[in-house]
Amino acid sequence: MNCDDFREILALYVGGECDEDERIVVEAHLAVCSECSREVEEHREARAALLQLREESPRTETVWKGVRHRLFPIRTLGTDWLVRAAAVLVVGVAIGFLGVMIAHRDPAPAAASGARPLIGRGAGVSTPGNAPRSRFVDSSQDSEFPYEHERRKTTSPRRDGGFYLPRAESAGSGVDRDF
Amino acid sequence: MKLLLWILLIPIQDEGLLEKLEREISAVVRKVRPSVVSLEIRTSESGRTIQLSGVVYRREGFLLTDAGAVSGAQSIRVTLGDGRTLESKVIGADAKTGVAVLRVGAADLVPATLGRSADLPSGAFTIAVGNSYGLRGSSSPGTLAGIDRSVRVLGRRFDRMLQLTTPAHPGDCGAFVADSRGRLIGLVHSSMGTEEESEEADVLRDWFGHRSPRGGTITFAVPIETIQFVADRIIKHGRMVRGWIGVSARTSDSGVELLRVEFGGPAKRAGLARGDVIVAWGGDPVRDVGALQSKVERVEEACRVKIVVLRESRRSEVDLRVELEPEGK
Repeated sequence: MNCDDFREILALYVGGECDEDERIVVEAHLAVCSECSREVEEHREARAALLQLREESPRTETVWKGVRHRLFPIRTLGTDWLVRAAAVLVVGVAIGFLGVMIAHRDPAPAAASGARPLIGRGAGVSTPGNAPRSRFVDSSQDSEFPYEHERRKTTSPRRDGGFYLPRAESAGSGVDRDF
Repeated sequence: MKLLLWILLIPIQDEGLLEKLEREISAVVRKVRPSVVSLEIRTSESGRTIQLSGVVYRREGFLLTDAGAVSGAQSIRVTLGDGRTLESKVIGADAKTGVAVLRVGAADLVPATLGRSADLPSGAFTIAVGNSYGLRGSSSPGTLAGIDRSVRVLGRRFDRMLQLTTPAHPGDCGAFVADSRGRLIGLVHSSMGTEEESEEADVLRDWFGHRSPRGGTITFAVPIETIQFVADRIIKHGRMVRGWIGVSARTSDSGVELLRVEFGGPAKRAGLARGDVIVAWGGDPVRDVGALQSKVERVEEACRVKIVVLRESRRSEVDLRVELEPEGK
């Protein structure tokens, strides 16, 4: 590998973004290459300057406080507490309502969904272990498949008991290959 | 008169056809079942057990199953098609393809007859035989819906997968996928579809009466060509061994274009860069990324190969060292 190859990742190295293997290779190269070492120093100086710039910036909350006082003069507690109490009451009632709805749900769908996790519990079939609870996983960051049919929300794979069949999080006609 | 006779015979002819189809499917299931095994894996992390399926690969005790399931296994108990129960050990597992090879102490197993998935047309009959919810020898017919799919499962990408309409249920992972002659064309790997609907989604449906469209499930299977390649390598070397050059690539108009070159990998060390197009490998022209991948992966010992690369319309010959893929890649 030559200096051009190393220059591609020197900024990552300074930012601590390299993995362990890359770090070792880069440090071995820096020990013998003054040009790349100089470049690393420049990266470090630029990084330090950026950090300093960030620290010297006015804190946004301080700025906002000044603006807010001018735009919305402080009101006395006259009617404010009434609004707050009403909001708390509404939220409380909503939570209570949702709780009652969940508690009184028809058990049939729950039983049906209980038979559907990745590692399922079969109706009438003895099951070792506990049924895993599903949770959402967002796979929207996946960008490898150009013609992707993607399920954004899928049950999380777990193997803590039961019958095994992993769920595909996404599928497509992959045109690229890693080898 | 002939027309009347033909019309009268239609119901009889139809019945005969269905009966024949039933007999054919039944014969395939009967042929396949002795080669299907049930696995009970006790995991070292939680001490609990999971159940799935497997297939007899060789008479002298080699079995196939899913690699993801056996990672971290403390013990594996195998129930054979004839009811015998044996302890098994993992010979090797390949995380990249999802194929694992196990071995039991028996030399009189009934191995699967191997087929070829590459020869099958889209829409070909497929029959999966596994252990749905622990029910041994469960069979489900369907068709081959697509080939060469890329699937993401447990955060890992799997290429060259078969897409089937054949239903698969929990416990069917590693099940035998047969063609219409009962030959092994794949192993059930994963599924995607309505069974993923969550409890949360059911709650919303109950409250608001909203019913989302619910399609059928899709089953994905590892093709026999991949299984055979990986299993033979694992049996030969005791672990998966394949060639590696450290690139991500795709087919382009003129050859195979490099989309990414791994830092510190063989391709990078040879001077290859993103955007380069490989047009020849060892003197042979390169036209398809799948074919090039096969050539690279079939390497069993590190070796050097001459390739021709196109960079900004200039052709140059490069001496590339193909290495063995690091373990855990």
